[in-house]
Amino acid sequence: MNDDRLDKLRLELRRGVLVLAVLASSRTPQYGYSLRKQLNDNGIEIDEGTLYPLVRRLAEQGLLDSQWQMAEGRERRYYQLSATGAEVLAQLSTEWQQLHGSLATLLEQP
Amino acid sequence: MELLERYLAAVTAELPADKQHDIIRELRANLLDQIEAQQQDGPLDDIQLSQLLLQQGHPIDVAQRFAPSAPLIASEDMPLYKTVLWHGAALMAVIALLKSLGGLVLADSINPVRLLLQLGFSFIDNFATLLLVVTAIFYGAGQAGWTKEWRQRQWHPARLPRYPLARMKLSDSITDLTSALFLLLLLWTPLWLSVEAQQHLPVRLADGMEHWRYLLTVFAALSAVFACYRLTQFSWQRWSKWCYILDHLVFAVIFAAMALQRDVFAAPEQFSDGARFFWTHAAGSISYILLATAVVLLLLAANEYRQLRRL
Repeated sequence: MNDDRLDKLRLELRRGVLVLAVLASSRTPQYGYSLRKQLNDNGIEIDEGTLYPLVRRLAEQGLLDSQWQMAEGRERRYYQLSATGAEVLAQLSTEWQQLHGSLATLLEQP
Repeated sequence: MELLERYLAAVTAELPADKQHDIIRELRANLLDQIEAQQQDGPLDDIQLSQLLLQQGHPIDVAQRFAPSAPLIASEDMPLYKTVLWHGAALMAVIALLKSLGGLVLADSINPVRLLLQLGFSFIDNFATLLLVVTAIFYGAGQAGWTKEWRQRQWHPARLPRYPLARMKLSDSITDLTSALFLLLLLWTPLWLSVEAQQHLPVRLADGMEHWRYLLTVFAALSAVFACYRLTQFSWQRWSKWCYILDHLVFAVIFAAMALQRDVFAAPEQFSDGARFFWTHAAGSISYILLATAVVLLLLAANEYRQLRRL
């Protein structure tokens, strides 16, 4: 398989868990760049073009609360997990654990 | 920083007016953070800033990611949309041909280039209207959720055909509906053609033959209603197949009767040179065309009956 197709498959695989990663990273207030840095530091590479619209969409869905704040002489929009977002994160985490367990069994099979 | 403002202005231009302020405010804040993170050794020069902005993507792509446009036609509706457009285009082509031939009848001499241009422009004119109307209907129905509702309401595993032959093809139903509508259009030219254009049609029903118009109207309307009903079905039932065969037989009988009766059609009221040419050379062939159509319909009915026996 060529690199392009592998990259696309990898991207598709990661896209499914991005929401979970963003919600989990937003337990503490984050602005766009800090969120991206935190995800990158934890091994989840994501480009700005994907992350920033995704964060806005999650805020529009009520999963994240947002607030403009002045910091270091500049305004930034901070996002934090909302009450609904926390519930959804708990449910998605359970789902992820089950999925991870099932996949691990499948992948261990010869 | 001038480059950054130019970039943001370009993205702004691609965003819906009601979202511009909020999205650009956030995009500016994010980009400034990225710039700040990169300028460890002093402010970025224009080349470095250009590189950073190139990484963000084309302003149109960025705007689309923040505020994606909804497609006019949902992908699930595209097969039906395309089928309707194809059949509509065929209908418009025939109407354009008839109009052009009407113009030919009026003309003193035949100019093939003029005829082709008339045909082309008439088709484009009609098709543009059709495209607009069909797209608007599908967009409205899609936005209201009617197309999805229609698919869900008619769908049930028990309604799926047992045999391949029993499958009702959507394209066949649309073809039949288009044919019925076309016949109605032909029958009722007074409703959509100007009085002058009607007077110059190469053929018209003779006086005292109006009963054919009404008879054909009734059966064409029934045929259209039946085709509409079939649009909501997945498979043929025995009764619906019988109705379809009957539909073919009725038209075959009517066309055969019209072909065999004398003086059903008459020359135009205002006899132009073109119409005179038509009536001298081609009028007799109308009966043969009707007879041939009747034979084709009988063969189709026989084929449908063959399928009915296998249901």
